[in-house]
Amino acid sequence: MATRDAVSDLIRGNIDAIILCTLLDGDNYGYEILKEIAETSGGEYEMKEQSLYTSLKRLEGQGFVESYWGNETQGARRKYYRITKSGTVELTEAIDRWIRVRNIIDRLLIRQDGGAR
Amino acid sequence: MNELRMYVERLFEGKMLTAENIELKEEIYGNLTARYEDYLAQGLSEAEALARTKASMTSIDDMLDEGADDAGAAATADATPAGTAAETTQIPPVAPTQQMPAAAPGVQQAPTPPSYAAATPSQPAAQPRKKWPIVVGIVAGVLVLLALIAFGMSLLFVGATTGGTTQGQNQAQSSTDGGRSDDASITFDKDGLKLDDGKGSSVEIGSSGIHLESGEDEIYLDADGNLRIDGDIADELLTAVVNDPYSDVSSYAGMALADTSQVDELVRSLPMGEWVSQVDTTGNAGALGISYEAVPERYDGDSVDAALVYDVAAIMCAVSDVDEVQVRLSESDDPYDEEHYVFTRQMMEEMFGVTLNADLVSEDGWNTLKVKNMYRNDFIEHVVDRAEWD
Repeated sequence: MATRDAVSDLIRGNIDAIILCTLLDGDNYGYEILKEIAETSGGEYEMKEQSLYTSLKRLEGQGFVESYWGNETQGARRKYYRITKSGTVELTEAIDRWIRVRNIIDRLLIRQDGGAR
Repeated sequence: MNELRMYVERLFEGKMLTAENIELKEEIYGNLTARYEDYLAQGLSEAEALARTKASMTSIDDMLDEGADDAGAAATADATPAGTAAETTQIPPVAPTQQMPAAAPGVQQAPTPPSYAAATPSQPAAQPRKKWPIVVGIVAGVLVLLALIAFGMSLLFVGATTGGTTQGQNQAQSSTDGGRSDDASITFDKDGLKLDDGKGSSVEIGSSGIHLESGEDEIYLDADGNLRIDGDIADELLTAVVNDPYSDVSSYAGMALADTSQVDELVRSLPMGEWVSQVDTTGNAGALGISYEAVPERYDGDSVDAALVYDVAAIMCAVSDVDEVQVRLSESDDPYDEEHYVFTRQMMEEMFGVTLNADLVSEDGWNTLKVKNMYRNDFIEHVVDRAEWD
Protein backbone atom coordinates (compact mmCIF):
# COMPACT_ATOMS: atom_id res chain seq x y z
CA MET A 1 0.00 0.00 0.00
CA ALA A 2 2.81 2.40 -0.85
CA THR A 3 1.90 6.01 -1.21
CA ARG A 4 3.03 7.69 -4.37
CA ASP A 5 5.81 10.19 -3.89
CA ALA A 6 3.72 12.98 -5.28
CA VAL A 7 1.02 12.51 -2.71
CA SER A 8 3.60 12.27 0.01
CA ASP A 9 5.09 15.53 -1.10
CA LEU A 10 1.78 17.26 -0.81
CA ILE A 11 1.01 15.81 2.56
CA ARG A 12 4.46 16.51 3.85
CA GLY A 13 3.74 20.04 4.92
CA ASN A 14 1.05 18.79 7.26
CA ILE A 15 2.96 16.02 8.94
CA ASP A 16 3.39 17.90 12.17
CA ALA A 17 -0.31 18.62 12.43
CA ILE A 18 -1.17 15.03 11.59
CA ILE A 19 1.01 13.79 14.41
CA LEU A 20 -0.42 16.30 16.84
CA CYS A 21 -3.89 15.19 15.88
CA THR A 22 -3.00 11.56 16.47
CA LEU A 23 -1.75 12.42 19.93
CA LEU A 24 -5.01 14.10 20.78
CA ASP A 25 -6.46 10.65 21.17
CA GLY A 26 -3.84 9.87 23.77
CA ASP A 27 -0.13 9.53 24.42
CA ASN A 28 1.62 7.23 22.02
CA TYR A 29 4.95 6.10 20.75
CA GLY A 30 6.58 6.05 17.33
CA TYR A 31 5.46 2.84 15.74
CA GLU A 32 1.92 3.07 17.03
CA ILE A 33 1.63 6.63 15.79
CA LEU A 34 2.59 5.46 12.33
CA LYS A 35 0.13 2.63 12.51
CA GLU A 36 -2.71 4.85 13.54
CA ILE A 37 -2.00 7.28 10.74
CA ALA A 38 -1.95 4.46 8.21
CA GLU A 39 -5.23 3.13 9.52
CA THR A 40 -6.97 6.49 9.74
CA SER A 41 -5.95 7.32 6.19
CA GLY A 42 -7.53 4.09 5.05
CA GLY A 43 -4.15 2.89 3.93
CA GLU A 44 -3.73 5.84 1.59
CA TYR A 45 -0.88 7.34 3.49
CA GLU A 46 1.98 5.65 5.26
CA MET A 47 4.33 8.10 6.84
CA LYS A 48 8.00 7.23 6.62
CA GLU A 49 9.55 6.48 9.96
CA GLN A 50 12.36 8.93 9.34
CA SER A 51 9.89 11.70 8.74
CA LEU A 52 8.18 10.81 11.98
CA TYR A 53 11.33 11.17 14.02
CA THR A 54 12.29 14.43 12.40
CA SER A 55 8.84 15.78 12.97
CA LEU A 56 8.66 14.66 16.59
CA LYS A 57 12.00 16.26 17.26
CA ARG A 58 10.79 19.48 15.73
CA LEU A 59 7.53 19.39 17.64
CA GLU A 60 9.35 18.74 20.88
CA GLY A 61 11.73 21.58 20.18
CA GLN A 62 8.78 23.87 19.68
CA GLY A 63 7.16 22.69 22.91
CA PHE A 64 4.16 21.18 21.19
CA VAL A 65 4.85 17.70 22.52
CA GLU A 66 6.65 16.21 25.48
CA SER A 67 8.38 12.88 25.56
CA TYR A 68 8.95 10.35 28.28
CA TRP A 69 10.24 6.83 28.46
CA GLY A 70 7.86 4.02 29.20
CA ASN A 71 8.73 1.34 31.70
CA GLU A 72 8.22 -1.76 29.69
CA THR A 73 9.09 -4.74 31.79
CA GLN A 74 10.12 -6.79 28.81
CA GLY A 75 11.61 -5.99 25.47
CA ALA A 76 12.76 -2.59 24.36
CA ARG A 77 11.88 0.68 26.03
CA ARG A 78 9.48 2.91 24.17
CA LYS A 79 9.57 6.65 23.97
CA TYR A 80 6.10 8.08 24.43
CA TYR A 81 4.88 11.47 23.31
CA ARG A 82 2.19 13.63 24.79
CA ILE A 83 0.62 16.68 23.22
CA THR A 84 1.00 19.83 25.26
CA LYS A 85 -1.42 22.65 25.69
CA SER A 86 0.41 24.85 23.24
CA GLY A 87 0.45 21.85 20.94
CA THR A 88 -3.30 21.72 21.02
CA VAL A 89 -3.50 25.40 20.21
CA GLU A 90 -1.07 24.96 17.38
CA LEU A 91 -3.12 22.09 16.01
CA THR A 92 -6.28 24.13 15.79
CA GLU A 93 -4.40 26.89 14.03
CA ALA A 94 -2.87 24.40 11.67
CA ILE A 95 -6.24 22.98 10.78
CA ASP A 96 -7.52 26.48 10.10
CA ARG A 97 -4.59 27.12 7.83
CA TRP A 98 -5.13 23.88 6.01
CA ILE A 99 -8.76 24.58 5.37
CA ARG A 100 -7.97 28.04 4.13
CA VAL A 101 -5.30 26.85 1.77
CA ARG A 102 -7.35 23.89 0.68
CA ASN A 103 -9.99 26.29 -0.46
CA ILE A 104 -7.49 28.36 -2.34
CA ILE A 105 -6.19 25.37 -4.18
CA ASP A 106 -9.62 24.09 -4.96
CA ARG A 107 -10.49 27.42 -6.36
CA LEU A 108 -7.46 27.55 -8.57
CA LEU A 109 -7.19 23.99 -9.70
CA ILE A 110 -10.70 22.74 -9.93
CA ARG A 111 -11.77 25.69 -11.96
CA GLN A 112 -9.12 24.92 -14.52
CA ASP A 113 -10.34 21.40 -14.62
CA GLY A 114 -13.57 22.76 -15.93
CA GLY A 115 -15.15 21.82 -12.66
CA ALA A 116 -18.07 23.00 -10.69
CA ARG A 117 -17.86 26.71 -11.29
CA MET B 1 15.83 -9.48 18.52
CA ASN B 2 19.58 -9.14 18.77
CA GLU B 3 19.60 -8.77 15.03
CA LEU B 4 17.61 -5.60 15.35
CA ARG B 5 19.90 -4.24 18.02
CA MET B 6 22.85 -4.86 15.73
CA TYR B 7 20.99 -3.34 12.84
CA VAL B 8 20.37 -0.16 14.76
CA GLU B 9 24.01 -0.02 15.78
CA ARG B 10 24.93 -0.27 12.10
CA LEU B 11 22.59 2.53 11.24
CA PHE B 12 24.46 4.74 13.63
CA GLU B 13 27.90 3.66 12.56
CA GLY B 14 30.14 6.60 12.00
CA LYS B 15 27.74 9.02 13.57
CA MET B 16 28.58 11.30 16.43
CA LEU B 17 27.97 9.73 19.79
CA THR B 18 25.92 12.54 21.27
CA ALA B 19 23.49 12.15 24.13
CA GLU B 20 20.75 12.96 21.67
CA ASN B 21 21.81 10.22 19.30
CA ILE B 22 22.00 7.68 22.06
CA GLU B 23 18.41 8.41 23.00
CA LEU B 24 17.39 8.30 19.39
CA LYS B 25 19.07 4.94 18.97
CA GLU B 26 17.10 3.57 21.86
CA GLU B 27 13.87 5.02 20.53
CA ILE B 28 14.43 3.61 17.07
CA TYR B 29 15.23 0.22 18.50
CA GLY B 30 12.05 0.30 20.52
CA ASN B 31 9.93 1.17 17.50
CA LEU B 32 11.57 -1.32 15.19
CA THR B 33 10.98 -4.01 17.77
CA ALA B 34 7.33 -3.05 17.98
CA ARG B 35 7.05 -3.20 14.22
CA TYR B 36 8.75 -6.57 14.11
CA GLU B 37 6.43 -8.00 16.71
CA ASP B 38 3.49 -6.59 14.84
CA TYR B 39 4.56 -8.35 11.65
CA LEU B 40 4.94 -11.57 13.57
CA ALA B 41 1.45 -11.10 14.98
CA GLN B 42 0.17 -10.64 11.46
CA GLY B 43 1.51 -14.07 10.64
CA LEU B 44 4.75 -13.29 8.88
CA SER B 45 7.69 -15.57 9.32
CA GLU B 46 10.55 -14.35 11.47
CA ALA B 47 12.75 -13.88 8.45
CA GLU B 48 10.14 -11.97 6.51
CA ALA B 49 9.23 -9.84 9.49
CA LEU B 50 12.86 -9.01 10.06
CA ALA B 51 13.44 -8.14 6.44
CA ARG B 52 10.44 -5.83 6.29
CA THR B 53 11.36 -4.20 9.54
CA LYS B 54 14.80 -3.42 8.27
CA ALA B 55 13.37 -2.16 5.02
CA SER B 56 11.19 0.31 6.86
CA MET B 57 14.28 2.21 7.86
CA THR B 58 17.36 1.99 5.74
CA SER B 59 19.25 5.07 6.78
CA ILE B 60 19.18 7.75 9.38
CA ASP B 61 21.12 10.30 7.42
CA ASP B 62 18.10 12.39 6.66
CA MET B 63 17.29 12.59 10.30
CA LEU B 64 20.53 13.78 11.70
CA ASP B 65 20.79 17.04 9.80
CA GLU B 66 19.12 19.96 11.44
CA GLY B 67 16.77 21.93 9.32
CA ALA B 68 17.46 20.00 6.17
CA ASP B 69 14.36 17.91 6.56
CA ASP B 70 10.77 17.94 5.59
CA ALA B 71 10.45 21.54 6.62
CA GLY B 72 13.05 22.58 4.13
CA ALA B 73 11.71 20.16 1.60
CA ALA B 74 8.26 21.53 1.94
CA ALA B 75 9.50 25.03 1.42
CA THR B 76 11.30 24.12 -1.75
CA ALA B 77 8.49 21.94 -2.92
CA ASP B 78 6.69 25.15 -3.68
CA ALA B 79 8.27 25.21 -7.05
CA THR B 80 7.03 21.83 -8.07
CA PRO B 81 3.46 21.30 -7.14
CA ALA B 82 3.45 17.95 -8.73
CA GLY B 83 0.05 17.02 -7.51
CA THR B 84 -1.77 18.60 -10.35
CA ALA B 85 -3.40 15.51 -11.57
CA ALA B 86 -3.59 13.78 -8.24
CA GLU B 87 -6.85 14.07 -6.45
CA THR B 88 -6.15 15.51 -3.11
CA THR B 89 -8.55 13.07 -1.54
CA GLN B 90 -11.72 14.14 0.07
CA ILE B 91 -11.97 17.77 -0.83
CA PRO B 92 -15.35 19.26 -1.46
CA PRO B 93 -15.39 20.62 -5.00
CA VAL B 94 -17.41 23.64 -3.99
CA ALA B 95 -15.33 26.39 -2.49
CA PRO B 96 -17.06 28.72 -0.09
CA THR B 97 -17.45 32.25 -1.36
CA GLN B 98 -16.72 34.12 1.82
CA GLN B 99 -13.37 35.31 3.01
CA MET B 100 -11.45 36.49 -0.01
CA PRO B 101 -7.87 35.41 0.46
CA ALA B 102 -6.48 38.81 -0.54
CA ALA B 103 -5.65 39.64 3.02
CA ALA B 104 -4.11 36.30 3.80
CA PRO B 105 -0.33 36.53 3.89
CA GLY B 106 0.13 33.06 2.59
CA VAL B 107 -1.29 33.89 -0.79
CA GLN B 108 1.91 35.23 -2.22
CA GLN B 109 3.51 31.88 -1.95
CA ALA B 110 2.91 29.03 -4.30
CA PRO B 111 -0.17 26.95 -3.63
CA THR B 112 1.18 24.44 -1.22
CA PRO B 113 -0.04 23.82 2.25
CA PRO B 114 1.78 25.95 4.76
CA SER B 115 4.53 24.26 6.65
CA TYR B 116 4.81 24.76 10.34
CA ALA B 117 8.51 24.89 10.23
CA ALA B 118 8.28 27.86 7.91
CA ALA B 119 6.47 29.74 10.61
CA THR B 120 9.32 29.17 13.00
CA PRO B 121 12.37 28.89 10.79
CA SER B 122 14.80 29.72 13.53
CA GLN B 123 13.90 26.77 15.71
CA PRO B 124 15.69 23.96 13.89
CA ALA B 125 18.74 26.13 13.40
CA ALA B 126 19.00 26.78 17.10
CA GLN B 127 19.53 23.13 17.93
CA PRO B 128 23.06 22.70 16.53
CA ARG B 129 24.31 25.53 18.69
CA LYS B 130 23.05 23.85 21.81
CA LYS B 131 24.41 20.54 20.66
CA TRP B 132 27.97 21.55 19.95
CA PRO B 133 29.35 21.82 23.48
CA ILE B 134 28.04 18.33 24.20
CA VAL B 135 29.56 16.99 21.00
CA VAL B 136 32.92 18.57 21.73
CA GLY B 137 32.85 17.26 25.27
CA ILE B 138 32.13 13.74 24.16
CA VAL B 139 34.78 13.82 21.46
CA ALA B 140 37.31 15.06 24.01
CA GLY B 141 36.30 12.27 26.37
CA VAL B 142 36.73 9.68 23.66
CA LEU B 143 40.14 11.06 22.77
CA VAL B 144 41.23 10.95 26.40
CA LEU B 145 40.03 7.38 26.60
CA LEU B 146 41.95 6.47 23.49
CA ALA B 147 45.04 8.17 24.86
CA LEU B 148 44.75 6.17 28.06
CA ILE B 149 44.38 2.95 26.11
CA ALA B 150 47.37 3.85 23.98
CA PHE B 151 49.37 4.58 27.10
CA GLY B 152 48.37 1.29 28.62
CA MET B 153 49.45 -0.52 25.49
CA SER B 154 52.75 1.31 25.35
CA LEU B 155 53.43 0.17 28.85
CA LEU B 156 53.11 -3.41 27.76
CA PHE B 157 55.03 -3.14 24.54
CA VAL B 158 57.66 -0.70 25.63
CA GLY B 159 60.51 -3.14 25.14
CA ALA B 160 59.56 -4.04 21.64
CA THR B 161 58.95 -0.56 20.34
CA THR B 162 61.83 1.32 21.84
CA GLY B 163 64.38 -1.43 21.30
CA GLY B 164 66.12 -1.28 24.65
CA THR B 165 69.10 -3.39 25.58
CA THR B 166 68.96 -6.83 27.09
CA GLN B 167 70.83 -8.92 29.60
CA GLY B 168 71.40 -6.96 32.72
CA GLN B 169 72.17 -3.50 31.46
CA ASN B 170 70.41 -0.28 32.12
CA GLN B 171 70.93 2.59 29.79
CA ALA B 172 71.03 5.41 32.22
CA GLN B 173 72.90 8.08 30.32
CA SER B 174 71.52 11.21 28.73
CA SER B 175 69.41 12.13 31.66
CA THR B 176 67.81 15.49 31.14
CA ASP B 177 65.19 16.86 33.47
CA GLY B 178 64.37 15.94 37.05
CA GLY B 179 65.63 12.44 37.05
CA ARG B 180 63.42 10.89 34.43
CA SER B 181 65.76 9.38 31.90
CA ASP B 182 64.39 9.15 28.42
CA ASP B 183 66.01 5.85 27.69
CA ALA B 184 63.90 2.78 27.82
CA SER B 185 65.35 -0.55 28.80
CA ILE B 186 64.69 -4.18 29.34
CA THR B 187 66.57 -5.87 32.13
CA PHE B 188 66.56 -9.56 32.75
CA ASP B 189 68.54 -10.77 35.70
CA LYS B 190 68.23 -12.80 38.85
CA ASP B 191 65.61 -10.42 40.17
CA GLY B 192 63.40 -11.00 37.24
CA LEU B 193 62.31 -9.27 34.08
CA LYS B 194 61.76 -5.57 33.98
CA LEU B 195 60.57 -3.36 31.18
CA ASP B 196 61.09 0.32 31.70
CA ASP B 197 60.14 3.11 29.36
CA GLY B 198 62.54 5.50 30.96
CA LYS B 199 59.76 7.86 31.85
CA GLY B 200 58.87 6.45 35.19
CA SER B 201 56.73 3.66 33.88
CA SER B 202 57.72 0.06 34.20
CA VAL B 203 56.51 -3.47 34.45
CA GLU B 204 58.42 -5.80 36.68
CA ILE B 205 57.95 -9.55 36.83
CA GLY B 206 59.97 -11.18 39.51
CA SER B 207 60.00 -13.18 42.68
CA SER B 208 57.67 -10.71 44.32
CA GLY B 209 55.16 -10.99 41.53
CA ILE B 210 54.11 -8.54 38.88
CA HIS B 211 54.70 -4.93 39.70
CA LEU B 212 53.50 -2.01 37.70
CA GLU B 213 54.74 1.50 38.00
CA SER B 214 52.95 4.09 36.01
CA GLY B 215 54.49 7.31 34.80
CA GLU B 216 51.43 9.00 36.09
CA ASP B 217 52.28 8.12 39.64
CA GLU B 218 53.49 10.37 42.34
CA ILE B 219 55.68 7.65 43.80
CA TYR B 220 57.68 5.68 41.29
CA LEU B 221 61.00 4.14 40.42
CA ASP B 222 63.00 5.86 37.77
CA ALA B 223 65.17 4.15 35.20
CA ASP B 224 68.11 4.05 37.59
CA GLY B 225 66.06 2.28 40.18
CA ASN B 226 65.84 5.35 42.35
CA LEU B 227 62.68 5.86 44.25
CA ARG B 228 61.16 9.22 43.59
CA ILE B 229 58.18 11.11 44.79
CA ASP B 230 56.86 13.80 42.51
CA GLY B 231 60.18 14.08 40.75
CA ASP B 232 62.29 14.34 43.89
CA ILE B 233 64.49 11.57 45.17
CA ALA B 234 62.75 9.85 48.05
CA ASP B 235 64.12 10.26 51.53
CA GLU B 236 64.63 7.40 53.92
CA LEU B 237 61.18 7.76 55.43
CA LEU B 238 59.44 7.36 52.12
CA THR B 239 61.77 4.55 51.21
CA ALA B 240 60.82 2.84 54.43
CA VAL B 241 57.14 3.23 53.57
CA VAL B 242 57.58 1.78 50.10
CA ASN B 243 59.69 -1.07 51.33
CA ASP B 244 57.68 -1.96 54.39
CA PRO B 245 56.50 -5.46 53.65
CA TYR B 246 53.17 -6.92 54.56
CA SER B 247 55.00 -9.59 56.46
CA ASP B 248 56.02 -7.07 59.08
CA VAL B 249 52.37 -6.51 59.78
CA SER B 250 51.15 -10.09 59.43
CA SER B 251 52.03 -11.09 62.94
CA TYR B 252 49.74 -8.41 64.26
CA ALA B 253 46.82 -9.20 62.03
CA GLY B 254 43.60 -10.06 63.82
CA MET B 255 44.39 -8.08 66.94
CA ALA B 256 41.97 -5.99 68.90
CA LEU B 257 42.43 -2.59 70.49
CA ALA B 258 42.38 -4.27 73.86
CA ASP B 259 45.73 -5.91 73.08
CA THR B 260 47.41 -2.73 74.17
CA SER B 261 50.98 -3.84 74.24
CA GLN B 262 50.71 -5.51 70.84
CA VAL B 263 49.13 -2.46 69.28
CA ASP B 264 51.83 -0.32 70.79
CA GLU B 265 54.48 -2.60 69.36
CA LEU B 266 52.90 -2.49 65.91
CA VAL B 267 52.70 1.28 65.80
CA ARG B 268 56.30 1.62 66.81
CA SER B 269 57.43 -0.89 64.20
CA LEU B 270 55.86 0.97 61.34
CA PRO B 271 57.60 3.79 59.43
CA MET B 272 58.02 6.87 61.64
CA GLY B 273 57.53 4.59 64.61
CA GLU B 274 60.81 5.78 66.08
CA TRP B 275 59.15 9.05 66.96
CA VAL B 276 56.04 7.70 68.61
CA SER B 277 55.68 9.34 71.97
CA GLN B 278 52.36 7.91 72.92
CA VAL B 279 49.91 5.24 71.87
CA ASP B 280 46.49 5.53 73.44
CA THR B 281 44.13 2.60 73.17
CA THR B 282 41.84 3.70 75.95
CA GLY B 283 39.88 6.23 73.97
CA ASN B 284 36.23 6.09 72.97
CA ALA B 285 34.96 3.02 71.20
CA GLY B 286 37.28 2.14 68.36
CA ALA B 287 39.47 5.22 68.62
CA LEU B 288 43.23 4.88 68.64
CA GLY B 289 45.40 7.85 69.47
CA ILE B 290 49.00 8.21 68.32
CA SER B 291 51.37 11.03 69.04
CA TYR B 292 54.46 11.58 66.96
CA GLU B 293 56.99 13.94 68.39
CA ALA B 294 60.13 15.53 67.08
CA VAL B 295 59.81 14.04 63.66
CA PRO B 296 62.95 15.25 61.87
CA GLU B 297 62.52 18.37 59.79
CA ARG B 298 64.66 16.92 57.08
CA TYR B 299 61.86 14.57 56.15
CA ASP B 300 59.85 15.83 53.26
CA GLY B 301 56.27 16.75 54.13
CA ASP B 302 55.11 14.37 51.42
CA SER B 303 57.04 11.54 53.01
CA VAL B 304 55.48 12.22 56.37
CA ASP B 305 52.04 12.24 54.78
CA ALA B 306 52.80 8.98 53.01
CA ALA B 307 53.94 7.43 56.26
CA LEU B 308 50.78 8.57 58.02
CA VAL B 309 48.51 7.13 55.36
CA TYR B 310 50.41 3.88 55.21
CA ASP B 311 50.63 3.47 58.95
CA VAL B 312 46.96 4.14 59.51
CA ALA B 313 45.99 1.76 56.71
CA ALA B 314 48.26 -0.95 58.09
CA ILE B 315 46.91 -0.48 61.59
CA MET B 316 43.31 -0.66 60.42
CA CYS B 317 44.06 -3.85 58.53
CA ALA B 318 45.73 -5.49 61.47
CA VAL B 319 43.52 -4.27 64.30
CA SER B 320 39.96 -5.01 63.31
CA ASP B 321 38.13 -2.89 65.82
CA VAL B 322 39.96 0.36 65.15
CA ASP B 323 37.39 2.72 63.68
CA GLU B 324 39.34 5.88 63.96
CA VAL B 325 42.98 6.90 64.34
CA GLN B 326 43.63 10.28 65.88
CA VAL B 327 47.12 11.56 65.23
CA ARG B 328 49.08 14.35 66.76
CA LEU B 329 52.31 15.17 65.02
CA SER B 330 54.97 17.70 65.69
CA GLU B 331 58.30 18.25 63.99
CA SER B 332 61.60 18.80 65.66
CA ASP B 333 62.03 22.51 65.63
CA ASP B 334 58.72 23.40 67.21
CA PRO B 335 57.30 20.83 69.58
CA TYR B 336 54.31 23.00 70.36
CA ASP B 337 53.25 23.37 66.76
CA GLU B 338 51.21 20.25 66.32
CA GLU B 339 49.25 18.95 63.43
CA HIS B 340 46.11 17.01 64.19
CA TYR B 341 44.56 14.35 62.04
CA VAL B 342 41.58 12.09 62.35
CA PHE B 343 41.51 9.15 59.98
CA THR B 344 38.16 7.38 60.08
CA ARG B 345 37.83 3.84 58.85
CA GLN B 346 34.93 4.89 56.66
CA MET B 347 37.02 7.54 54.92
CA MET B 348 39.99 5.24 54.50
CA GLU B 349 37.95 2.39 53.10
CA GLU B 350 36.19 4.80 50.80
CA MET B 351 39.43 6.22 49.47
CA PHE B 352 41.12 2.85 49.07
CA GLY B 353 37.98 1.34 47.69
CA VAL B 354 38.42 -1.78 49.74
CA THR B 355 37.73 -3.11 53.22
CA LEU B 356 40.77 -2.79 55.45
CA ASN B 357 41.08 -6.06 57.28
CA ALA B 358 43.43 -8.95 57.91
CA ASP B 359 42.76 -10.37 54.45
CA LEU B 360 44.53 -7.41 52.96
CA VAL B 361 47.77 -8.19 54.78
CA SER B 362 49.19 -10.11 51.87
CA GLU B 363 51.17 -9.71 48.68
CA ASP B 364 48.12 -8.71 46.68
CA GLY B 365 46.64 -6.67 49.43
CA TRP B 366 49.76 -4.62 49.92
CA ASN B 367 49.95 -4.17 46.19
CA THR B 368 46.44 -2.79 46.28
CA LEU B 369 47.26 -0.45 49.12
CA LYS B 370 50.45 0.88 47.66
CA VAL B 371 50.65 0.54 43.92
CA LYS B 372 47.00 0.89 43.14
CA ASN B 373 46.27 3.67 45.53
CA MET B 374 49.02 5.32 47.51
CA TYR B 375 51.44 5.76 44.68
CA ARG B 376 48.88 7.41 42.46
CA ASN B 377 48.96 11.11 41.89
CA ASP B 378 47.40 13.05 44.70
CA PHE B 379 46.04 10.04 46.50
CA ILE B 380 48.01 10.64 49.68
CA GLU B 381 47.30 14.33 49.49
CA HIS B 382 43.57 13.74 49.31
CA VAL B 383 43.52 11.31 52.20
CA VAL B 384 45.51 13.66 54.40
CA ASP B 385 43.31 16.59 53.39
CA ARG B 386 40.28 14.72 54.57
CA ALA B 387 41.94 13.80 57.82
CA GLU B 388 43.33 17.21 58.67
CA TRP B 389 41.79 18.69 61.71
CA ASP B 390 41.90 22.32 62.62
